Amino acid sequence: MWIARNTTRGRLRFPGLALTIAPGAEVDLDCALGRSRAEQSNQILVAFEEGYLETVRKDPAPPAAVRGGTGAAGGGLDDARLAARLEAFKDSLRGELQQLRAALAGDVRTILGGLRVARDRLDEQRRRVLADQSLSEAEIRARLAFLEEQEMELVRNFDALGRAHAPEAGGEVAAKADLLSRLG
Amino acid sequence: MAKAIDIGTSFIVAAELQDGREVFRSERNAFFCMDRDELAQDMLDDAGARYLVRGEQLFVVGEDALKFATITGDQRAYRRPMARGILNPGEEQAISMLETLVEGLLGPAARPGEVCAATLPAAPCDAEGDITFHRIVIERCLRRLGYEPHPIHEALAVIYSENPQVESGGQSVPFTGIGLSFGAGMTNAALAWRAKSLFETAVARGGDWIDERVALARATTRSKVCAIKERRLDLERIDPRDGMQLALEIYHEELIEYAARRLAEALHHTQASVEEALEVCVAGGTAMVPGFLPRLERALGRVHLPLQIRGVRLARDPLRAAAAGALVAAVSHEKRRPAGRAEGASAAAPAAPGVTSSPGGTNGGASGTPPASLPPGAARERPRKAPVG
Repeated sequence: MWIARNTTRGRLRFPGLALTIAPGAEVDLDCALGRSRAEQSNQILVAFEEGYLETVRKDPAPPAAVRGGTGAAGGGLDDARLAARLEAFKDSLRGELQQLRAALAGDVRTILGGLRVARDRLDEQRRRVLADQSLSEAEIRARLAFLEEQEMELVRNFDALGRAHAPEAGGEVAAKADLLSRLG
Repeated sequence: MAKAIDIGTSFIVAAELQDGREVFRSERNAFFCMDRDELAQDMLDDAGARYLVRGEQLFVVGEDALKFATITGDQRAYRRPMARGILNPGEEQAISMLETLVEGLLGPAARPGEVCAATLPAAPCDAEGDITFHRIVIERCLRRLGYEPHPIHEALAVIYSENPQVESGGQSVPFTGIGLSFGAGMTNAALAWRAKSLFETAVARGGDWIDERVALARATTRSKVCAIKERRLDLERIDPRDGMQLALEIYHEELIEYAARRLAEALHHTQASVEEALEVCVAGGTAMVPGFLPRLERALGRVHLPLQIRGVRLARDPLRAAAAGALVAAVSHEKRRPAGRAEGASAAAPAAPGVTSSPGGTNGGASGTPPASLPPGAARERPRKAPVG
């Protein structure tokens, strides 16, 4: 386990590594990237050197199965470990969605097609989360909440256009439509 | 249930019924283009702005586009999918941006084939302009969202919304009068008898034309003129020492005179004739300026219309009247559809008594109805249902 904290007030992005760390958040670099990749990355190195990242905890050797999330459901995992696993899951999904967003180019039809692909991907993630025996109830809830949040963000631009207005004296349209229908 | 959309040069307004009451959603028909970078994208996310990413560019759409144009001062990046009432021929992103806005406002059809009435302008009588391309783009966009498109002329929609009436043979005849829609890009007009469109026309001048002329006359920007027009102008209280107010008054007067003159000319060229005095219902943002209506009434009195006018009134909600009227048509059309009415008949409008095809002279077509006229005296007869389909 190698827990690193974003010490800045901004979101740290490592585009080449598809890694984003929210302000003040902690991430398990072993989970997110793997020990050797994290240690060899110049971006990570510079972030530590500049003080943007600080090590909270660094175990001597990375556990072999951390990336797969092999913890038993409901037991054995402390809060820091759970948080790190969730953060790693979020980062991985963010990276994936970021790539999808970057690919959303071309005409509107292509963009909307891309949006559907992204939604399918989120649905697939949901199924995986629900089927993953290694996750505790709390982790499942947290991951599903995050997936929902991501989906809302993704579709917001398409579903929330416009300012709604409901006139006080509504109902006239229906009455006039009746009148118009009767004329026919 | 059916929906409706009024696609104007400045604003797009969607309408639907929720629990029997009409609900509107409106959005500025505009977008703002900026280079894509992470900072900009984060900023837009934080601001909750609606945007699209296309390649290396970000397109902020709707009201937020105007905000960004104001904040950055970059007026060239502020673009509009439509100009003079139809798709902007000089804007390469016009179709995709308009589709995005329409989709964002309407959403997909609740079920395949849900009726969606869309307002369309008439072909302008004073300028080159073909609405066929515009109409087909809108229809395709609606079909792609799962709707059955139902085009309706913008000014006829105003008549459906405001329901002007006349007394004929001791009976009240609904949806009978003149509808005028003073929009940003165009001014549309329609004459209807018992919901049947008898005549439709348009002139390629509207609020944008006023902004353009005043900006030229006063050597300023159109956005500044527009802001003053919308916030401070009162045509009844013009300060003659204020050059901007004076210019705005002159060009409002010019637009009103021009529209009234063109309407009179077009009506003289048709055979449409109604003996009862008609009410004129006026909608559109340009007509909302205080003092606009009395000037219009005086102008209509001066141009010798071949019809009697018994009053001019502003729509209850001038910005949403066309959308509301389109929704009336859509709901009515959907109600009548199961009864086996012929598809492609008039825009929810039954035929008027004694209506015959006119030899020409109208610019009808937006509603899919053939140009028609009412022979003199026919209006005196008790209205009866004409065969449909």
